[in-house]
Amino acid sequence: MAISNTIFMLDVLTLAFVVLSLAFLVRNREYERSAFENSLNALLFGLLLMVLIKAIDVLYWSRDIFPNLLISTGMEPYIANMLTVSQVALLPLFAVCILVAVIFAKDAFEGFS
Amino acid sequence: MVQEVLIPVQKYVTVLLLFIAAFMWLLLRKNRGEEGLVALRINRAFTVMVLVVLPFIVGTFSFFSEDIARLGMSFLLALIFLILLVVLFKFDKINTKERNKDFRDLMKDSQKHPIKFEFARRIVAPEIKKLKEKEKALDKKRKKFSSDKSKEMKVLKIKEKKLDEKLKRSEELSDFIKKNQMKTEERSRVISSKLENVDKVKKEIVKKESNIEKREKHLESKIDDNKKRKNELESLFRRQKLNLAKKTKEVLLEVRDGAMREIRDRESELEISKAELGAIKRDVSRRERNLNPRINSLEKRESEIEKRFSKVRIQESEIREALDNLQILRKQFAKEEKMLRKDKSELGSYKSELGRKEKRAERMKLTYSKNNNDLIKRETELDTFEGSIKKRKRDLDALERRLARKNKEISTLEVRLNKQLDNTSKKDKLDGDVGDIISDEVYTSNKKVRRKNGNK
Repeated sequence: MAISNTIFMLDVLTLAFVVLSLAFLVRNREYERSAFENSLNALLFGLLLMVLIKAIDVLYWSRDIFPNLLISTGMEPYIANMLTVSQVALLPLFAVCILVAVIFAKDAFEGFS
Repeated sequence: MVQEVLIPVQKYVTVLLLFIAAFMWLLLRKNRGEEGLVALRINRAFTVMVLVVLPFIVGTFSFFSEDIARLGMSFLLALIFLILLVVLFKFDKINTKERNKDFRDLMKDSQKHPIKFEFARRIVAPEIKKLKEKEKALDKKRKKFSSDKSKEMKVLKIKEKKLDEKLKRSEELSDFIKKNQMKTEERSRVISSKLENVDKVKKEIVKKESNIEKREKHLESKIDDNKKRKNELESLFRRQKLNLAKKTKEVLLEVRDGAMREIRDRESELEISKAELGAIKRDVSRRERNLNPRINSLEKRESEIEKRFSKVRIQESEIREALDNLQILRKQFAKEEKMLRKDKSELGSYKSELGRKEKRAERMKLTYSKNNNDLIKRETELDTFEGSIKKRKRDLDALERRLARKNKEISTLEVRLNKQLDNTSKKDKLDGDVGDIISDEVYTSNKKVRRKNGNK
């Protein structure tokens, strides 16, 4: 119970950090050169996927802490499926986005030199 | 089964992809160095982002229990995104400062940014135009809003009046209902007291009935006793008669003569007993006669009780009707109460809506006033800017005038020099190679003229 509580709190914190990072990355994108635009867009999409993953994690771990909340919203039967989708599809997609962002950045640097 | 295989496989794929990304970025960083990555301002954010591979490695290849691995993964992810947030926040702060500085430099009267007039003409002037258009649109909107608001206020006042009237009516209705309720309560009290009396009367009747039944039973027992006595006496009489007959037969044989008196005595006794029997019979009949009116009175009482019962039933039915009426009145009262509550809630919602609209209008006013202030500030800034531009224009005009004057002087000088040159050429034709002696000033002016004419 204590571990699930701690994980829930950490996931909530991570979700907040990711959302704020996303907002600041959007702001910083305006100051970057257009050559890095694709790379930054890929990174932004990756962060968006991370927001989704963390939101699903928060919902999953809140099942033990606020059981009535999920039952009242009628989401309880779908949470396990959502977690499976996040682990099977969203996590690899996030990794692909990071890889694509790095590859685009590398190409842009080569174009400068 | 598929999920059990697929989820770990996808985790391994994720770790592999992130590892490749981290490897590529760190290799690029090593090859180019810190200075080589300056083109991308937020290169540190990439470095932090690439570190995301660590929590996934901890989560996938862990020697500890699943919970501890999950905890470690969550902690590391939170830490990495916190660092990313801090890095991005710092970059944002630095970049906004630089951008603000650039804008301030553009607004300064310095030689660093010669395009500032063009900037003012191309960017600031259309912005001012747009702002003026926006101001006009805002004024129109404000006028529209004020007119709409006044209309709405009028409508709302009318509605308020209607609601007040409704409230008054509902209050009157509630008073009327309260009065009716009081009356019904009083009536119900009277009815309940009457019912109590009826119950008491019922109890008394039941008591009396039980007494009558007791008396009837007592009389029946008495009649039975009398009947028994009569039977006993008859049996006695018969027995005595038989005894007498036997005795007479016996005595007749033994004592005929002397017993004749005894027979007579006995006959007289018999007559007495007969008389007694007749008296008893008469007494029984008399008692029967006495019992008849009592039975009649009992029947009468029964009929009276039945009548009372019928009256009580009528009263009961009346009470039931009154209770039904009371229930109907209660239902009506509840309905009217519901209507009143609805009206009240509608009034409350109307009031809250009115309050919200007023607040919105105040907010709009505040925003309008802020926008106005901003526009006035910008106008003043632009006025000052225009003033500086006009000053510059005047300076330029003065410079142009000076240049025109100088041009005139130069042209007059040119004319003079041409004349002198003509004269000298004529003299040269006369004197051959000997030139005219010219002063230093004339020589420099001639040089300038030649430069202007492209060394012709």
